[in-house]
Amino acid sequence: MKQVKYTITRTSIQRLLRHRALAMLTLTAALVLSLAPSRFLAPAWADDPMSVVQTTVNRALSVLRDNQTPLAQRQDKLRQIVSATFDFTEMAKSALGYHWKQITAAQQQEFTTAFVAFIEDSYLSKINDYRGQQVAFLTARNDGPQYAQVNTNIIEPNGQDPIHVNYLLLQKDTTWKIYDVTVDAISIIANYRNQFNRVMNNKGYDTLISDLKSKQAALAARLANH
Amino acid sequence: MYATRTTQFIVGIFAILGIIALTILSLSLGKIALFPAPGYTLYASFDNISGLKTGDQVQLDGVQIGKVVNIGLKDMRARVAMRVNDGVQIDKDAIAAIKTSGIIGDKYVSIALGPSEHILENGDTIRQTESAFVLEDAIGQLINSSGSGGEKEKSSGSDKDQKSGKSEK
Repeated sequence: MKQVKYTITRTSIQRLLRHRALAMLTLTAALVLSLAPSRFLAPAWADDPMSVVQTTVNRALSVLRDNQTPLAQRQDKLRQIVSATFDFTEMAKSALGYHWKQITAAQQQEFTTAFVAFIEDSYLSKINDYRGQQVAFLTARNDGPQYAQVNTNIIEPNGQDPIHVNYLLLQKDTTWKIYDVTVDAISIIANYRNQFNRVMNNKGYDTLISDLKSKQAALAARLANH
Repeated sequence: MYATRTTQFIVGIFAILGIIALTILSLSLGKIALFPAPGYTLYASFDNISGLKTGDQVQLDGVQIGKVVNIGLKDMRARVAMRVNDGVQIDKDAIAAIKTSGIIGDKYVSIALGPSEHILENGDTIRQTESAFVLEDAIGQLINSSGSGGEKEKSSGSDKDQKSGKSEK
């Protein structure tokens, strides 16, 4: 009985982590790309959700593939690509869930900064895990007037089953921005919301923010050493 | 030869009582409500509900706040109608996820509240959802990847150490 339970948890955790790593890769890739050709940026992805995701992912992939450029430079590029298309403020807000309404404006600001840095660094630390995966863009669907979802597959070079990665987008002032990514139906924001919820309920905001900051500092240190 | 009128009458009464008892039994076992439970109805669409049934629980922080009253298909996605108890406020950025309780695999809908001030009303839809985790797919992928993805498994192993340290916190 115990054995079975353990296997299930372990399987699901492994899967989640592996996929999260890949999603992070894509994210990172997306970030990097936006940096370089800043002249071409603005008009290209104002249009529809599918082209926003396509442009972002393709730009990110080209950074990931480019292993001639020094790592630090690629990280900077990725950071720019991702921050151009991802609505990090919305992501931070959503990840904190209903606790967002209970903290002060200053705390909201502090949390957003810490969360964005944490997310960026955790994805950037995966930059070297890229193994030639390809991305197939499948369908785009509207979820109400200002929301859309774009479905993609990450195709493994060694013929394994593709990984389903879906991007959730929100339209703000005619621009589409990504506010969540699901990997094999597991939502990154929902995942963080559950974790943060637990910490907020048991230990409160101070613990959450100090934990988040120390994790981020550890990640940043590892990034710098690469 | 023929039973008396009294006997026939008694048999008739028993037969009617039996039918009433059966009706009550089947209604309560089948979780069919004759009158709608108080509360309000919310909808949510999922890519995969993996065997969620009418009558399954809707939970918030592990507390039952309602149940699934109807399941259908809309635009080729599973559309779930939920009856939520009065007094429970769910905002428009809430996430509805299908979870499994125990190892037998009972499904339920878990709601994680969001940061929005906008509270959903009767007939509204929870926009963001997370589909069921399908164990068979996960096992299939694990078998698949353990065959050819040795290197990647290794790298996700170190990742796991780091992450599990976090979730223990």
